[in-house]
Amino acid sequence: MPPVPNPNADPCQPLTCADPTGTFDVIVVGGGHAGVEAAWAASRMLTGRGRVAMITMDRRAIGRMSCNPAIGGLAKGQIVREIDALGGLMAHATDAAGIQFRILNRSKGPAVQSPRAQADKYRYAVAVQTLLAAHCPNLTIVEGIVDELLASPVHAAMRTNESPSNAKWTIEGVKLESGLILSAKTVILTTGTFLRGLMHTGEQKTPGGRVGEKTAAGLSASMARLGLELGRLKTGTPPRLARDSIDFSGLAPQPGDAPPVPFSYLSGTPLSPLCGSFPAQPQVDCHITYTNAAVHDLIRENLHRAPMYSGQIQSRGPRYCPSIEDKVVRFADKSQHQIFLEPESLDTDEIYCNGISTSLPADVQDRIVHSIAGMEKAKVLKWGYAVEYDFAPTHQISASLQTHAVQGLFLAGQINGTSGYEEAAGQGLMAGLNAARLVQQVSPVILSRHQAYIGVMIDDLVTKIPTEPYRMFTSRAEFRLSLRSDNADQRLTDLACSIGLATPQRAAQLAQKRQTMERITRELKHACIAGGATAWELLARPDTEIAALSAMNFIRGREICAVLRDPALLPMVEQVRIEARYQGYIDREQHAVQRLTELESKAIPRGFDASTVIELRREARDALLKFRPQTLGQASRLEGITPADLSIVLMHISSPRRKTPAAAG
Amino acid sequence: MMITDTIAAISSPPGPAARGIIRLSGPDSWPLAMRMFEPLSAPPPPRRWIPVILKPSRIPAGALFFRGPASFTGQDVVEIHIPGAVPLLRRILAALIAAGARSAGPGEFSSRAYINGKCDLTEAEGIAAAIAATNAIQLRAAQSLRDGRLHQWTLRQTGALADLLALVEAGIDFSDEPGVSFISAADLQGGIRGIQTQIQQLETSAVNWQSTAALPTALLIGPANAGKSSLINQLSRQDRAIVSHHAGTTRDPIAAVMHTSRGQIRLMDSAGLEDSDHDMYRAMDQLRRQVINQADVLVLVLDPPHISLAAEDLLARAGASAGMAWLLVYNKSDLLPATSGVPERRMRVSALTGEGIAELREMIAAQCFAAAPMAAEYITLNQRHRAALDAASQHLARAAAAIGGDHWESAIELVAGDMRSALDELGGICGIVSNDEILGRIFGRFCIGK
Repeated sequence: MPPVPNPNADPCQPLTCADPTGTFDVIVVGGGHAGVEAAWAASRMLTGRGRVAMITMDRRAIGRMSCNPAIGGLAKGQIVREIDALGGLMAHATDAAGIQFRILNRSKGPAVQSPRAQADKYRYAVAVQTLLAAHCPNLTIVEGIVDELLASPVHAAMRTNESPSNAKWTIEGVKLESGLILSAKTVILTTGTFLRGLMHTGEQKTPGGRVGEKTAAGLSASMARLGLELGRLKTGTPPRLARDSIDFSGLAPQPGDAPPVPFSYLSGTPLSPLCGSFPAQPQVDCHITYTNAAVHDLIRENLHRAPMYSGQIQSRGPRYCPSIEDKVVRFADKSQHQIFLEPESLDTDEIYCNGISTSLPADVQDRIVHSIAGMEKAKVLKWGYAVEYDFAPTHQISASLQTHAVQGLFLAGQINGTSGYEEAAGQGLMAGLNAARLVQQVSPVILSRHQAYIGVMIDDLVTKIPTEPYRMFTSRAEFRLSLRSDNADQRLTDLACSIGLATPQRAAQLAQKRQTMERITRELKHACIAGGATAWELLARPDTEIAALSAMNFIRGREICAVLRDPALLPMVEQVRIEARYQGYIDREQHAVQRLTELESKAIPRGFDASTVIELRREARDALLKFRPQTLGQASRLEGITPADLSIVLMHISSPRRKTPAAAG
Repeated sequence: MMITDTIAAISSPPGPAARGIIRLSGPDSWPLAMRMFEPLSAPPPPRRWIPVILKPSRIPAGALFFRGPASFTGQDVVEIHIPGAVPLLRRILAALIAAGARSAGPGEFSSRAYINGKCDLTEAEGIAAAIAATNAIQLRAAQSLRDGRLHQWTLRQTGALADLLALVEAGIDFSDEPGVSFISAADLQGGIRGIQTQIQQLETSAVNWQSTAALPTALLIGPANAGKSSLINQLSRQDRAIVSHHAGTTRDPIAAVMHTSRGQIRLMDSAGLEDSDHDMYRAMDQLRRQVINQADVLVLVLDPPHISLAAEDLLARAGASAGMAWLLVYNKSDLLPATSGVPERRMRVSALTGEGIAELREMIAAQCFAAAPMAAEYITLNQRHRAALDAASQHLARAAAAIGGDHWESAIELVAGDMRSALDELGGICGIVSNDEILGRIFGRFCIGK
């Protein structure tokens, strides 16, 4: 249980700040959700063996929630569970700071249910900082702004098998604006919205990644000098209001689940680093209000002052997270849009207006806010704004998140064109882990599409041309019946333990869970009622209640009733039930997984040069040269690649008797 | 692309032929083949010809088994040799695929051979060229399809299905979003059933691609040694059929294209009708019955020893019972006494002298084009199309059945899964609808996002 913070004090006290000189194994640039997972993962992997540094503009901003005070949600909740199963920190921090927990999609099947939490944003940052301080003795926090990447040219002869194909540079460290040079074997960039960040509120433009914070200006140029191509994306955030000034009396409350369900598989157990008991915080409600015709009129009248419409902003924003001006223009027939009023903290009076992200000028925002029910007298604490920032289109990274061009340079989070804390954190964890693996000179860990949403996300990133900030949806996962929030531990924890990212205790905990589930399954399949139906078959039906099942008259295996009534076993019975329900479907998925795995297992060697393969169509050749897929599976998902192209690639990479055309001729 | 699964394909050239070959390659080749065939001798040593019969219709065939790596592809390979009737081959292939084999892609046997080191680069380049050529053919075929009705039809169905799926996915991925009104169970079920009906209608109304782009077909039928083969050679002016004086020379249906003033007509020969309890004859007889269903016009050929009212009656009834137009031809007219005139639908010809051949040609054409609807009015489907449509239909049926009832929403992800599978199957006919496109449909229609 972290100390209750005073948001005005320095919540960063526990963090160590060792001597920032000497060589680091991993430097993480940025302390947002990608950065903290990267630092955590790298530090845990290298404990006792290597040093990790995190460079941040402001130590107190480590783990800060820049936008909405919520973690999880549909598909994103699965990612957080995966991060937890892999030994990451996001779930721990969320459980420690969560002030409302809900399972979304409860009425739908278990595969598409996801946990979501409102977090106290200050307590969240403190929880993150506490975790880093308590569990990362080899982590050094350095305050500063990175101005330049230091790299040396690679000579072809020196390329190792681990090096990305055709890397022209090897990373050597970073130089800060202060002039301080930190050398490192690997560098992970998690720059969020700070890379040439430019905020827009109406006509007003302010350089910076977040309100009141600076921007990283020199880094973009340095990246470009190393041959990295950059693009520009946009995102936005709504105004924050003072709680006391809102009249909640007429607004519908939205409570959380009772009892709340935690994110981490460890919360509520002695293994949890922060949440031996759960929930750790008092639970609160959100409230719902709506825009109205007057608000829409105001927006239409002032569209010429909205940067997205005046031409002031050219970059693309996400379709799934439109600003209120976008909603009004694109869905003109709708007379109202819903707004969730979400408390940002138990200790401050900030309320986040989820649903009216905007970059309209302050005077228009003021009038909009005051035209909305409950907000007539609301005091605006912070204006909404849009922010533009640099990102690196992801054909430039491999699935380990290492750049093709610069050996040892990894990218994670919004710099890869994604949006969302969870997407950022998932990449951060993988980048931290793979940077540590590169230091250890072992092959990177790549999660595949059938293992994890994180695998789906990274695979999408390295095979698709981005058109908007990338957000996870369950419909992106072709194996979503298997990629559930209830089984992330079964999917990933063994892997995490085997590579040293998760503690051995977790493996033991999981083994015990598996054993219990197997026993329950066995007993369910043994028990049967008159007529021959087994308890397993009955449980698989969607209309069977577990309580009702436990009261049935079993003619064989009556012991099952005690199992079904044991509250300690209930979560595992529930999970066995999910598996029973999905059985046939998951078998089908597994068949497809098998086919996918075969393609994934065919590595495309570093030396493969698509430009020399004359049989390939031009479109296929271009796609292969641009994305440089590392497996046949990745190649198969590139746009413009047909099965025939794959056959040709396969022929060129896999025959033991392959000869050069000259030798053959 | 994978090399550990088992692939299957019809390896004999398209169209009816004396012998059809179905080839399998992969670890399960033999067990898969033996699901359909019963071996008449012991399981094979490394490479052997095994007489087999097709279960359950007991058509005799042969299987060549090559144990990998001593095979063309380096894997276990089975070649099934069976009378080359297209529907028969198609049915066997479909059954193999249903049993777990995968339909082989262009050049896939060859690429397996290359991967397993069974051919060198020179050969591989030939294969690559072959693959490219196959693709070029496919490309041309696709090009012609693109303007065609199947393409238009498929686009309509995938579009409708993708719209429905977008609504279902929106309900899953954006259920916490305000203002997204989703589809009702009844509308969803109705929409899915509508697409199912479309598929069924297409499948019943379409003609098979294998019927040579739906050339009208005349089947020659008659007693053994009535001279059907000679007649076909005359009509098509080519030595297509093996001609022999021995009765029963023609074992398998063979075909030739006849050019007439009205257009091309496919002529099919059948084995002679003959009383025999020999297995092979029974098999051929069965085959001929299948072929009758594929022809537009039945040409009944009798030679002098067989000309009798009883025979005429029998054959005419055969034609009528099959619901087909028919013609009666008195062949070997050079052996018949000259007479004045023959009744309607009856002709005298001599394959030897050429008497009446030109007239018969035009007569068959008149009957054929009267009987056969013009190919252009039909959507033609090949084996792959039908397999995709069948699979899509099954997925849709399961999806539609799962909708409704108190608990259906708790299985919405399974409905979505079946709809996705159906969409992938239909997409296989004219382009896959990606998940991104589904998301695009959602964003285009709904105000998503807080």
